[in-house]
Amino acid sequence: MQNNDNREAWGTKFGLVLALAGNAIGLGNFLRFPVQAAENGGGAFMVPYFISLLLLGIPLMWVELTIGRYGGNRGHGSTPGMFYSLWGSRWSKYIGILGIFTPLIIVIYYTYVASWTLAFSFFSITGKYFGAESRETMGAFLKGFQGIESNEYFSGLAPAITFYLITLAINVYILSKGVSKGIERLANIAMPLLFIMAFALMIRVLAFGAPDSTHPENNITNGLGFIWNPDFSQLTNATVWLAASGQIFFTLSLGMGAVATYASYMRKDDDVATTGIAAASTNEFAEVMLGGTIAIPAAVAFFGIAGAQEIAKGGAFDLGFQSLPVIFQKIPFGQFFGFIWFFLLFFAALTSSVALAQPAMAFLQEEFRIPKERAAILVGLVLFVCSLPVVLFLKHGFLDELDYWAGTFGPVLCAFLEIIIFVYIFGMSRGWEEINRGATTKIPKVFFYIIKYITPVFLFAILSTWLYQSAGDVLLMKNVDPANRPYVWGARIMMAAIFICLALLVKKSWRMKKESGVKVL
Amino acid sequence: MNTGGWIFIMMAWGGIITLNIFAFRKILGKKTVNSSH
Repeated sequence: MQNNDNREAWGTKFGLVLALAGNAIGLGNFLRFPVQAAENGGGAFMVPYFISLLLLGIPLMWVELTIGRYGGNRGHGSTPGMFYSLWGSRWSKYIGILGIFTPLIIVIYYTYVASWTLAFSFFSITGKYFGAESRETMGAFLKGFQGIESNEYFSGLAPAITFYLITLAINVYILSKGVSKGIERLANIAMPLLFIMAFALMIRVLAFGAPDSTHPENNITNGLGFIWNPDFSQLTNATVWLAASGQIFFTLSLGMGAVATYASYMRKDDDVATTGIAAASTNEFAEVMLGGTIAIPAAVAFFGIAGAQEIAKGGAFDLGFQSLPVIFQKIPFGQFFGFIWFFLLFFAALTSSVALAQPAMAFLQEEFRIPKERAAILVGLVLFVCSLPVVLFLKHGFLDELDYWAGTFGPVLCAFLEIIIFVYIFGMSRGWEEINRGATTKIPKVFFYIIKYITPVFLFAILSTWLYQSAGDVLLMKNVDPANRPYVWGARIMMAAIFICLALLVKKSWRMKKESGVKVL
Repeated sequence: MNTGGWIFIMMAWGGIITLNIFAFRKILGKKTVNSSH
């Protein structure tokens, strides 16, 4: 389907909401959220979490959707063009590079992580890891698969690379089919299946009761209590507020250019307000209700509170790839439920990875007139080449370095700059008019002031606190083993090279348009 | 799980379900993206 400017368009409004929700619902919903909640005050964590949703998440979602729709109606599906439409300064298009750079770097390693979930769903159904019955042996299984060590389970990277190539091929195929026939069709199939699988797992977990009769205190009710029992003393802790706002920011995939790119395929009067609320509320449903009821409560039921605390400290991958597979080996039909768990994660990751690759696709298609099939192959090649060091140097911290700058710092910086451009350069009055254009839900006027004052301050607070707390140490590699420093430098050089390439492409695209007499709106 | 936990889970789940019903009633009220044109 095409819109007025021969750009592609979403087939249905429902499809757009599912695609946006698919972008937002990722591994973090099922792995990161429960760990964050358990570590930061339990039920009390939900107070800053929902306040952040209201003051940061939903307003920023509206702003990104509005910027995307505004730019899309002027022929731009990526942020260099969108920012140029809003501002008109020669610098705006270079600031907009962040909206292609950030998702491109993320998708380089995210596709590889997504391939682990596909591999583990295969290993579940075939029972390959069955026999590795402790967290330690499952840890060895995971490390063997990732090529971090050679052991009885794996002696090379061939299986990891095979599953990576399959995952990359699926991504390229979906991207080559375009927005309506590729991404929207994927969302229409994957999202309902994802919810069905998550419900099935949730019911299975709730039915665990107390699996070990000698330890009746290790039960699902206490598992839910581990996430939900409020510790109000944590509300005065700034770290908890920062963790909650960071979680909201990442769970909605804000500041990554993907939301704006998806919105660029909307029409001028399509409803930004309701679409934003629907996408955000679907994401919250998956995160708080499903994500909060599966992994951590199951971990408490089988490993006890102390064990779950240790797992939560170990992070999301310990929970998802080491602890849950141990549980699957202890329950009837464990291979089946293991498959469901990892395939659910694969769908969650796939709907996010295509979204992260779409800004680069739109940039190539619209600024260079490259057909979508060729653009998909080009993006696939870039991902493949750039992911090789991620795969080969995983144990040297290559992925972690990309993740800090692009996955943690980049989106917040991008979101901060875009809201400043939107509110203070484009103008909040014009912006408010744009947000409300075609809205079937009347947005309360209080959000005018929230978007104008509170959201930018909120973002600035997150950005500056993170910079203060960790950027210096990361920049100077204080916690990096000296042997790994060349690899970390390699990651930085790769990121710098990609940024410079994008800047040159933006410059070339604008020059080409100028030479051919095309007026950039 | 203590009473506070039950209160928080009820409030969070209730709020999210309400928000979803509100949003999707609006979304499904219009059939397609293009129906307004």
